[in-house]
Amino acid sequence: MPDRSAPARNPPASGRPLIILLAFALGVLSTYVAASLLQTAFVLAGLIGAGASIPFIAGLKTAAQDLYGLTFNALFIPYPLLLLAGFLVALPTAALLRRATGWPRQWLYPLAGAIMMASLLVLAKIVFYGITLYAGTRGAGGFLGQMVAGAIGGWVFATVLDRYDAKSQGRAP
Amino acid sequence: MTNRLRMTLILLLAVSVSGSYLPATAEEAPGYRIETYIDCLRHPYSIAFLPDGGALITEKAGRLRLFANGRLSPEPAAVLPAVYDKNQGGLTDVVLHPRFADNQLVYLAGSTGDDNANRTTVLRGRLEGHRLTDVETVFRAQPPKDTTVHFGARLAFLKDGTLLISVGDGGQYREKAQDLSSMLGSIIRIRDDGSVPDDNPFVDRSGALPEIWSYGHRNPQGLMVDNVTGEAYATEHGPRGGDELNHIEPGNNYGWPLATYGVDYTGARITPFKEYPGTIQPLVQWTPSLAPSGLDRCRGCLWPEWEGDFFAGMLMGRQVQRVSFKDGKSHRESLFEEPGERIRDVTFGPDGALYLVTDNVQGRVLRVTPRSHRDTTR
Repeated sequence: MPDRSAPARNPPASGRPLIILLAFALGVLSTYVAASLLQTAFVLAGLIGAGASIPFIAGLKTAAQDLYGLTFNALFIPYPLLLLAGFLVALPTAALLRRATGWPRQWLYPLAGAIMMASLLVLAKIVFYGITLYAGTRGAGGFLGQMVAGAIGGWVFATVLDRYDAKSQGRAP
Repeated sequence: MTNRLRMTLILLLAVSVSGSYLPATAEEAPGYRIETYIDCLRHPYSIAFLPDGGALITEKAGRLRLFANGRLSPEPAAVLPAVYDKNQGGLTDVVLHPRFADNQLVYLAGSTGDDNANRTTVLRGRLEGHRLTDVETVFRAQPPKDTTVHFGARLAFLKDGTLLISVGDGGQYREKAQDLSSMLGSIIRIRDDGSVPDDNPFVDRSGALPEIWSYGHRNPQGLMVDNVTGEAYATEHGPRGGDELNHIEPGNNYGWPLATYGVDYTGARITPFKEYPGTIQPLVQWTPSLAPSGLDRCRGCLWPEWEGDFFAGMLMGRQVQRVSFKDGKSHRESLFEEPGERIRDVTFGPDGALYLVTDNVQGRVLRVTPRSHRDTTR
């Protein structure tokens, strides 16, 4: 079965740069939402483990506050900006790799997102006196959760491009 | 008039104008004088006054300095190579045994270990002349941790002669502050020889460490015992906001991290709760954070109008906060901001003056007196 996402099959289309931008923005956004929700979940799980009783509504409210706070209340750098910077390195690198190898984007971009998140968290820990900056990532589960969030962003990016390319191919004369 | 003469006159005028301006500015403050008491210190942390008028000062790198006869002894009273001096770790507090005049025992708090396993530790030694001898370990916090922050490491003797020790949560292990099988995030009470008093609150609780006196603390870097009432108080750093002044009583849970007024540095919530059932609310909380370190209370100090008020040094705030209570409400005032330095320790001296230890690599001890005070001690 031919690889529908292989680079050679991409049709030349004038709207493609815009679609790449849209896919990139959706990728960053979906990673941020997933990362924030997972961060909240692991922090609350830690509190429950320490004996706290957290009503469901209080948990939901905390999740909403984190979605806001990680962007607008950060002391150093808002999480979405970190993710943006990370994806600006990770996705072009993956695109180059894809061009060189022909590997399918549906697993290459998610992999790039996951590796980007792991690198980001390790780097942040080094910079921040060896302390894990995002409390929800102190354990292996929380760390893997953030990698999954990165993979989700990569998958969204790949899927948007895939669908656009498929659609463009269908319309091609 | 020559140019040189004109310039001299201009300079004289400038000096005269600035000279008259500065006292006018100071008079707008409550009327105190701040002077350098001891300088040439390298990253000082805490000061304890000796009965003979001298003082001991800790330097973070593991040196104990002696100030005697109005000058700093060039040779340290002790150099402690075992001290783990990294980031927030180092030699921190110094206090004298309540019967120091009889036994010359000095207690030191700090951190020992390495990057992989370090802990809050208390040492004691005997001050003989200008040297600290017979140094031994009387307490080591359990379990060791692998972070370089949140040691707490403050000391205060209760009136019954037992010793309180603050232990931070290690930064990475906030939930351990709720775990009575861990000393992280707690205040410890031991006898002066390191043994556990029989009347500690968790002595009989299965699975709890008997040394723990109170828990649910983050990073208590201010600890004092009121020499009038015998009650203990502590200040602790909140995360981003939520610095606290607490009245410490045995067996109490001070809430970290179940309840806090602060949020994480990332902007994320630490907990949904500012108050949580079964935990103690702070007497005062500071949001935004000023980063409290060092705490004392005016008891017979040189300011009669401040009798009973608390004085908390502030690192980030570069000031001292005076906290008073009236009609069940707390009132806060920013003081001693003029030096513009991070304040690591605050203590009233035997002369009633307030002494501030500044948190600098080239640090010093400042002495604060009322402007109207006629100094007979120097």
